[in-house]
Amino acid sequence: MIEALLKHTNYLGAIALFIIGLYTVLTHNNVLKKVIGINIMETSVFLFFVSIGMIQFGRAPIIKLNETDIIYVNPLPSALILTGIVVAVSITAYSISLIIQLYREFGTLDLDKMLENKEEQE
Amino acid sequence: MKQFPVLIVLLPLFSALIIPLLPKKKRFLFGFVSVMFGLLFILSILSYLNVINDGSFRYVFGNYLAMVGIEFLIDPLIALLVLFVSGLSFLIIIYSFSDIQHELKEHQYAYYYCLIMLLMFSMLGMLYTNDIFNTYVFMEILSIVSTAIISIKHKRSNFLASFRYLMLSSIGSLTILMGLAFLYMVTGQLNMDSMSLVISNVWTLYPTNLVLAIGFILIGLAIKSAMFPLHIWLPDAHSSAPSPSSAFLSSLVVKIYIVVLIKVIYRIFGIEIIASLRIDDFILIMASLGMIFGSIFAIGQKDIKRLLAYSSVAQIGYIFLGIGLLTPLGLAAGLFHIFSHALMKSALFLSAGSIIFSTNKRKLIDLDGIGFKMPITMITFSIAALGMIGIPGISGFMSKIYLGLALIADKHPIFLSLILLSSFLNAIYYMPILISSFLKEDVLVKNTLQKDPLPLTMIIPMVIITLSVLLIGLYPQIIMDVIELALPYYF
Amino acid sequence: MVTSFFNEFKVWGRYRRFSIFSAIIFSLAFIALGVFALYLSQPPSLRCLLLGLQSSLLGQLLTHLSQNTLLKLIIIFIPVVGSFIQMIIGRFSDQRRDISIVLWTFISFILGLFLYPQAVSQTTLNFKDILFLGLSFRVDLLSYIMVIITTLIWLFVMMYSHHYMLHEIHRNRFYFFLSLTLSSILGTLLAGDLLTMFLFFEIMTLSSFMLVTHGESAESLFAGYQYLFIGVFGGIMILLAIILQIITVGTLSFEPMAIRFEQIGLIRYFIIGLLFVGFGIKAGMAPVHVWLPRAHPVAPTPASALLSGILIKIGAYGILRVMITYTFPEDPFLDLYSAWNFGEIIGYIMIWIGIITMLIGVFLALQQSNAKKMLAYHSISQMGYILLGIGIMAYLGKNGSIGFAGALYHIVNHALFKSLLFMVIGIIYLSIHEYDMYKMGGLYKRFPITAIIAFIACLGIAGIPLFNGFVSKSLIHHALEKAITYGHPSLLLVEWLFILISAGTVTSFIKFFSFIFLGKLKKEHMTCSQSIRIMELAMAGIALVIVLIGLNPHFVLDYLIVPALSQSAFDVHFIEKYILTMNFFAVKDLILMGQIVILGFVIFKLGVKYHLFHLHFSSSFTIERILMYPINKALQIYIQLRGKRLVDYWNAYNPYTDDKSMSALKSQGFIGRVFTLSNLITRLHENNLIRNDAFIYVVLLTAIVSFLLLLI
Repeated sequence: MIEALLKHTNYLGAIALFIIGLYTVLTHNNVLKKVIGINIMETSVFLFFVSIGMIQFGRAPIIKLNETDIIYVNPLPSALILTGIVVAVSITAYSISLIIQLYREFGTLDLDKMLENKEEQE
Repeated sequence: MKQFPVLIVLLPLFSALIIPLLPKKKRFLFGFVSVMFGLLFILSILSYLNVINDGSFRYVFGNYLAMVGIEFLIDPLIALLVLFVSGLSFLIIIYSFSDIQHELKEHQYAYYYCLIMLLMFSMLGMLYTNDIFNTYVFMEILSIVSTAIISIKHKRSNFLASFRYLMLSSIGSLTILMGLAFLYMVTGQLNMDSMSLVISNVWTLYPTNLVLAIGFILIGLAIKSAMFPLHIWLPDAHSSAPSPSSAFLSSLVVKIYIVVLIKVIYRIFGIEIIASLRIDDFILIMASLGMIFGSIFAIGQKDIKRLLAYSSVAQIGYIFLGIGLLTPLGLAAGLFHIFSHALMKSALFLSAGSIIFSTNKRKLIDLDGIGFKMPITMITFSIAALGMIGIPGISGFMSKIYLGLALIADKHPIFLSLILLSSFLNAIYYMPILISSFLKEDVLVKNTLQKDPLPLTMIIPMVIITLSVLLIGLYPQIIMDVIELALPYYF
Repeated sequence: MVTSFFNEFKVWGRYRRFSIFSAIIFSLAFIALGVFALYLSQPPSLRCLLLGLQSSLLGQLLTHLSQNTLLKLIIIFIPVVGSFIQMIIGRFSDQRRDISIVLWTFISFILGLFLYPQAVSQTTLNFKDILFLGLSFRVDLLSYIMVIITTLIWLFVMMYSHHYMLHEIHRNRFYFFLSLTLSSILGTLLAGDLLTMFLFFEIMTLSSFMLVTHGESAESLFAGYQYLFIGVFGGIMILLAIILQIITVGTLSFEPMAIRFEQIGLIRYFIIGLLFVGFGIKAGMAPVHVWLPRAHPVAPTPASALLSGILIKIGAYGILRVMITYTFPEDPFLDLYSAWNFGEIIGYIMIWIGIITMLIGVFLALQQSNAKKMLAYHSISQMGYILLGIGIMAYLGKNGSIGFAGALYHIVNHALFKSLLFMVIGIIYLSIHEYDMYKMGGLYKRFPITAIIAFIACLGIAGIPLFNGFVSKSLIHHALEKAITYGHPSLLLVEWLFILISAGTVTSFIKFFSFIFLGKLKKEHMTCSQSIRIMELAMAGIALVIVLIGLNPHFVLDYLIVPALSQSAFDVHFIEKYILTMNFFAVKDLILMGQIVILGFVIFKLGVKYHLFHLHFSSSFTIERILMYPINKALQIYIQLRGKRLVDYWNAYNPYTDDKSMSALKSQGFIGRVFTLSNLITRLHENNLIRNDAFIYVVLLTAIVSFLLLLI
């Protein structure tokens, strides 16, 4: 039982991070913390994805020409995750620019206060 | 001819790259954008005719094997959807040439059209692709761009709405990615067809993974396509956006996510697995709740665009009702309603935008007697609203009949009465607008019939959309025949 | 005498051109009717000869026109074209516009007459591809009779409405929607299957809505809202029935299908119930008639006359058509009496619905003081007669031809005298601007010709012999007697109520005529303006038709109604024995009629003496309240539980009323309560939903995933 847990630490860590990230997005009113929560969730998903690619007894996927019959780790998830990281960075950048505009308009970073003041226009 | 899908996808991308480099003159920009869209439309017509004559085909990028490369599958339904999307966006873009001059500042026009081009790129890409991770990439581009076209207007409500949309949307995307991870763990493929082969073999061996996968993907797509309890971002986002953006978002963007859901349910998993997991019941129940509650929330609204946004929630419930039946008739009815609702909702948003453009009034109380100041606009609004209620001759009625036939053929008569109840609720909130705009007297000005004070580029798209709503209402075979041609690919 | 008549010419005044034109059209219409009557009365072999010599050009043109199947479509679209033309003309001159209206209606009337050969041969015009199931148009003698009577009455009302509408605003819009209503009515009548009928039915609801709310006062808008919502609700019922029928039977066209219908089990009761509610809403059937007494008085008088005269008949036509389609077996020579069994049950229910409608109509009509509202309630009551006739037709099955004949004849007659009565009220309103019967009196001195015409109409509706109401009421009475001999004895109660209600009708019209026209002329009315000649001419036209039908009842019966019967599956011997040889002036019927009239006088005297006509129920004791009571109560309890300060929740857009006080909150109708409830739900829950968006997501995700995992 403990061995099974230890063998799959990656997956358990990913799920735990997913839940932590989700909790952060849920409960914190501060918009910056929400963005951090989204980042944590993204990290967890990347962790999960990359650890799928692990094959037992595998090596890094770099082919040497005269060696056959070697087990390589699956390279595809890492490639997918590179794309995913780019996406995550762009979402974070865009949301931070939105936060800057929100701060300019409302003067606060608290989402509840913002919703109360929503109706006033300049 | 077979290369056209790639051209269609890449043309907006290159235009999006070129637009910031162009001289910042208004007419030059508008001309360039309209030329690009016109070219896109012509290419999609040619591709559609090609598919109708020769049958569907696959295009693999770089001549790799389909299993390891990215594949585009073009069947008649996808070709018709691409044609429809490019045609409707052409009309909305023509409309926006005049409208954004009231909503955005001068230096932002180029950015706006750059974003619209990226929107087209991602939408068309998501329609064509047959590879699930490619879908995810396009989905991410689409989610960023669709929040950007809301927040490009610098008002308070826009920023808030756009932030909330972005947060929920990225939660959704991450959920989808998690679900994708569960799928990839089991199947090891990314191409949809090979995935479905592997899933049908492996289903009994790894049930937990596949169940988790379908659960996560469904919830993620439900957020993005506004299925009932997760529709909460929709009213703020669609009501505060500039009018062309609301038309884009409400008619096209949401539908693309529904098409992705159709591909996931029907192509990857297949109806036996979905039916054995009772997910269709879940979709049906959520769809009916959406139909009723969308209309109830719409009755209590004061702002016209917010009312139309809640109405979208209700109509998307209809589409989910058709999809959740898991029969050919149901899928055909849901797909038909995608087309008809896209037309009607864009007509409604465009006419609401024209009213705001010329009179700056958004609240329903201020709309008394506006049918005399802007008759063409209000006739567009009336015809689309009557279609939503279900008057024969307009396309909304045909989708109700198709849905009704599909429901009864599958022995779910209670949902039929829910559809009709929802039509009646639609009548309750659309009729007062029509009545007060044509019959009540405006407090300031006496009602005399005038021509709309709108530029021609705003009137022509509305008229063309109204005519196509009537055309598809009278001759629904134009779309239904193509849908029925394409159904074998999904079953 | 002659010189005074020519002096009257000057009275015609500025509108001479219109009046002369209408008079010419009037005479042309009667000449056409006369020619048509002559044509009908010849045996079929001589008819071709009469139609003017096949070889001549005119004869060939006429035969070619009447055989052309596209004629049905042309007739439907002529009023639409006319409506656009009159909008253009109406910008320049009122008179020319009204001349064009009368001309277009006359052209539709004449072309309608030419449909006769197609009505006999029942050809169908099909458009396969439109609207997914195809549209089809068909005319048979039943719809032919209704087309003729519709266009004839429309013609006379158009002649009448020129002067009336000069006192109203927005005339162009009114005539536009009036013509649109005419063309949608013709479309409903000429429809060959249920989907086409539904299409035109919805267009008819929408365009007649514009007629009801023409005045744009708060009362008109309220009546219009109610009319529209109830009408749309009826449309949805019919849509549901269409969908169910497509699935179960497979075809929507109006061919007899009783045997197929019987095979689908219990759902046929549901389908036919939905269709009855849907068409019955339009026809003023008993539980769902609540829009009628509000909508008909509020419209301008020409619109009221047409609404009450023709539009509610379309509902009755729908019920009749549905009944014929579903209760007739496909093969009429199949002697399967069990195939008529479904008809018996449905007919029995319809008989009781008819009687209850009649009772409610007459009883509430006697309480009214507003003349238009009283006439509206009488419309409900007379529609009850028609529904009774239809019910008997279905109940008697193969022998039901008397009920059919009675109902159809009463449709024709009621259209005639009800529109005439509304026109009379309109003329009086034009002069003295008053609808209250108790405030009028002695007006025969100022409106002599109108009084004579009103007297003819009152005699017609009361059912006095020699006028047309007697004919149809005695037909229905005979049918009722047949039903009692062949059927269940509980129908004796129905017959007793029938006699009572006919007496009530007589009472009501004694009250109508005597309070308005007889008695002492009030001082303020002594110098009111007199009526316009052309309006009286239009009314006299209809009165003339009433008298002609009353004097010669067998004409319409033998040449129009019996051929309509022979096109359907009724028993031929029965028709020959009872209908063709029916003596309308038999002593038994006359004695019965005399008893009814005496009873009517007695009730009138008692009512005036003991103030029985002023029973004021409190304003909440309407049928609407009683039916909607459970829903209203539930909504009220919910509002009281959830809302603390209700007026806050009222602030959202509620177009139904402008009054924001608590008393308005308590006394609103059903639709108003729906608005309040939705406002309440929105205000209370919308912000909560928006704040807790991520929470809802998590709950849903956990629920789905755990549910799915549990399934494995």
